[in-house]
Amino acid sequence: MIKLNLLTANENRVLNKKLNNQKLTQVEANYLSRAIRPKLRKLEELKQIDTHSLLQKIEYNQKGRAIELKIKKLIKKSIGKLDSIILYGSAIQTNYHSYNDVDALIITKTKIWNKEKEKYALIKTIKEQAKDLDLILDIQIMERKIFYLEYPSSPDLIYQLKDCKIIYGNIQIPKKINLSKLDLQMKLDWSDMGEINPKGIEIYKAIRNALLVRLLFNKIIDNQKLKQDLYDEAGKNLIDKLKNGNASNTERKIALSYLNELSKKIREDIKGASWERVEL
Amino acid sequence: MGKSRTIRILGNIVGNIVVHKIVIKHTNKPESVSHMTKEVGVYGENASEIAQEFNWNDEDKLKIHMEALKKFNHNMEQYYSDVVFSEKEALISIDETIDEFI
Repeated sequence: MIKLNLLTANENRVLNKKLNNQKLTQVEANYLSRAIRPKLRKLEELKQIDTHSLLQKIEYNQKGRAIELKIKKLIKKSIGKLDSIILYGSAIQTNYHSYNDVDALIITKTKIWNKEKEKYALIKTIKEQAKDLDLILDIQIMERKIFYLEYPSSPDLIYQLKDCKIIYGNIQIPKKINLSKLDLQMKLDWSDMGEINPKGIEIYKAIRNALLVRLLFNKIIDNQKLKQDLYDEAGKNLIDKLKNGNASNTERKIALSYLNELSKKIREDIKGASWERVEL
Repeated sequence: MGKSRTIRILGNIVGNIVVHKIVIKHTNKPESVSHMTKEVGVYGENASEIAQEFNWNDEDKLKIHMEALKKFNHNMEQYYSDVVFSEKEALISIDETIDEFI
């Protein structure tokens, strides 16, 4: 006999009667179709949800709060024309339970650098100051105007900011995504390793990049799915070894060969797609 | 990281950026890839961060230019063979990009 807590005693009785192939009355048949089946379907839907990560995400985390305050204070001090600070990446996705660094996108009101190298010098300074505060930051800086212009067609921004937290300012993440085949093609170009003898971490990032393009091509924006695809396709063991820099030469060769095949296939799929632009 | 590996990586990054600049310019795409995004992160860190590990003299910059040109020619031929551009604009763009980032 099955007894489910989400069903009433009467519904449980009807369910068991049905499971035992006993004849149901009209009223019992109505119970089955109007109450029992819908409740079981809801249960089926719930199974698809990763409740563990969901609970982690909504939990109040004192440590996270302290980290965010430190970041806010540091960046406000370092950036003159600060508009907004957006945090994203594994720290945000796991509510500070599992991460190596904190990814931060700093939005400035106007362009505060002349050449890109000046911007990177500024990033380097902030990262060093963060280290003194026991924070490992990965920083991007972008002008507000450029952010709004580029977001709808930037695969990176779309994926990074799928799970994000604005800790300062009033920037709005645009709702409209408008990607072209060319955007995806150009993004895939970054998976082309050229003639460099790549390190494990570089191959890992190139595979991740290619899988991200494939997901976007299939109109999927889901960081969990991206992580799962990495493990499912290349194997968790190999991915972890590449990421941690302890893959052997043979393993790197296998991973590179997989990457080349993957990129080739995605490139062909993009080329053959009947659409030019996709709105999400 | 050794200097010659860094030169090859920077050449790859610059070459790719210039490919995208030329493709965007000649395909009427309104958006511009004018900044270096995290996409270059495939190579570990981004170009300017890598570049800051060394001091670059004119000879080094020439080597980066040559690597970038190699990457540029390869990618244009391989992936964007239908895009028509002048060789001169590609060369100017490589120099501008090196100056912007390195």
